[in-house]
Amino acid sequence: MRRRQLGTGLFRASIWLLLGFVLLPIVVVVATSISATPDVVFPPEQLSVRYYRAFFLEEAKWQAAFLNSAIVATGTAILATALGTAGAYGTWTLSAGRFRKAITTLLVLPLPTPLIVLALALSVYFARLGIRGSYLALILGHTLVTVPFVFIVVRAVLTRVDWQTHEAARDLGATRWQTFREVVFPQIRSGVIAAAFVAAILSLHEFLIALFLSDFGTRTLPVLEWTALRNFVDPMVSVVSTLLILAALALAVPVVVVFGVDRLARLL
Amino acid sequence: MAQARTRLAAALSMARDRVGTRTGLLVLPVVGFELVVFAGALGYLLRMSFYASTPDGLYQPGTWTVTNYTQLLTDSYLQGRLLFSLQLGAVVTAITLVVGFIYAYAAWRASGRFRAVLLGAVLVELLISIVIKVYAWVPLLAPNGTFNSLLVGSGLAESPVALLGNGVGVVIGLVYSMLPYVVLAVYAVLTSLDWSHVEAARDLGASRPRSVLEVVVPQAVPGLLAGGITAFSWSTVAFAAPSILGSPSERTVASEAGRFVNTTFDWPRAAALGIEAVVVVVLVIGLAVALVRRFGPADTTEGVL
Repeated sequence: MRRRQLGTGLFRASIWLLLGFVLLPIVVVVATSISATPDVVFPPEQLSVRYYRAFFLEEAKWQAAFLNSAIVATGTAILATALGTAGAYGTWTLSAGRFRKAITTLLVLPLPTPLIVLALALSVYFARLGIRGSYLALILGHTLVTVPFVFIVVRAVLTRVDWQTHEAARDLGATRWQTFREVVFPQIRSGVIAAAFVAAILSLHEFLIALFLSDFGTRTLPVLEWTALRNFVDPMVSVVSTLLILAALALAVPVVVVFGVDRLARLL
Repeated sequence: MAQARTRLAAALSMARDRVGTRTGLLVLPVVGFELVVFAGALGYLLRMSFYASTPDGLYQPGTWTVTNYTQLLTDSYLQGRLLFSLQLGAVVTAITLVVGFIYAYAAWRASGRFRAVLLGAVLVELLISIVIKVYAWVPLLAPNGTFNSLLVGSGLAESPVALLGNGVGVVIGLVYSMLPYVVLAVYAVLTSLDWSHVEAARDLGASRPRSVLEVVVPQAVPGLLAGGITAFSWSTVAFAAPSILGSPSERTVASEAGRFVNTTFDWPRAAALGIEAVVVVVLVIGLAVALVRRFGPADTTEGVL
């Protein structure tokens, strides 16, 4: 009996330790962002918001990167959601078989492909097409890695659609487009919006593809963080990281509202 | 049961017919996108690996040569980097699988709020940029960082221990980055598992650890395999963690390929290296899956690969 209690205690302790392992780096980033000193130490000795003030008021290069990130994330969210939603709806209506399986595989294949290979391939390919370094290149690259997520999320909400309402609308003479717009889409709207938010978060935080496809004028926040870290540890990196984490959390709220943590954990 | 399933399938296929096959054409834009961007880029990378490179760091379009590959395979430095990358991937995958299983098991057994906290934590971590995840470990692992202050302050170590700029830092950073993928893959499998089997094992006298090892782990193999494949294929070609947390002796094939593309502009060589890395990683994973299929519990690899 004693041994079992000891075992349970050890298990509990290791779980708290692991939870700490997952959360500690996030705490470190946030805590070092409000440090008053230029050296990044945890826990910080003195607190101040001077680096936040610098980010919003002084640092032109960080603001430019912020704008680039916002442009790329918005473009990616729109393109990936349009392509992924249409693809999910289209595959849902295909009859089950080899063809549908092949298309589904093609759509999720970029997911297990190592990012460095995608980054390399897109880099030489877009250079050949003359668009490397442009916003378009970044948006296309980010769309490639986010479409699978949009596809998975939208396919999950399609299973919850009441297809009898679709049938009824068609029987009453509605066109396919009318039926989709007025009957099906309202039932999947929240899921589609959630998918767009997921795509925006992934794009905001994506690093490797952005590093290979951007140039001096289009580099995004993670790329500029990387560039800054090559020289020395900079508190501004903590500030930007904290802002990126906050943005991800804010964008994740509607997603969690739609799916709930548990369903999301099994979906992704 | 079987009858109900057939009826359900029939109803579903009827619903599909009603939606109409023409709606299926909606897959065309995304299929076109994947063919032009994904297949196009990978195809061009493959083609690039057969271009002859010129001494000034450019390549000659229209040429066909296997020199990039023969040079690569005889380059002992690069083959050493590939070997190191595979070892790194293997170590990271092994640690992440153990830690990730414990975490996923705890989340599965936890109730209500604590489960949401455990899952929420890995979901948040999943979203965070790799640069941020790696950077956060610098103040923790630095010679004058948090862990070393604790170690020296408590008298456990006399002088700071080197945790940064070596393999230790890289492995910690990579295990941290790969953990959410393993946790979520294992958790997804565990939720479909029947707890009463574990209880039965315990009723029959199995100890707690033994009941988990002999009942839960075998059934979690599909999740462990899926998570392990992700962890291995990504950490073997890791780019950010070795650069920020390691030293030049922790450079992976990805670091080298990045150098060829962005610094020396030797694209055909970068392409050949990238393709060699993918081929080797896929071979290792294929071997692992075959081994699990051969010696692992029955019917566990369905749906994987």
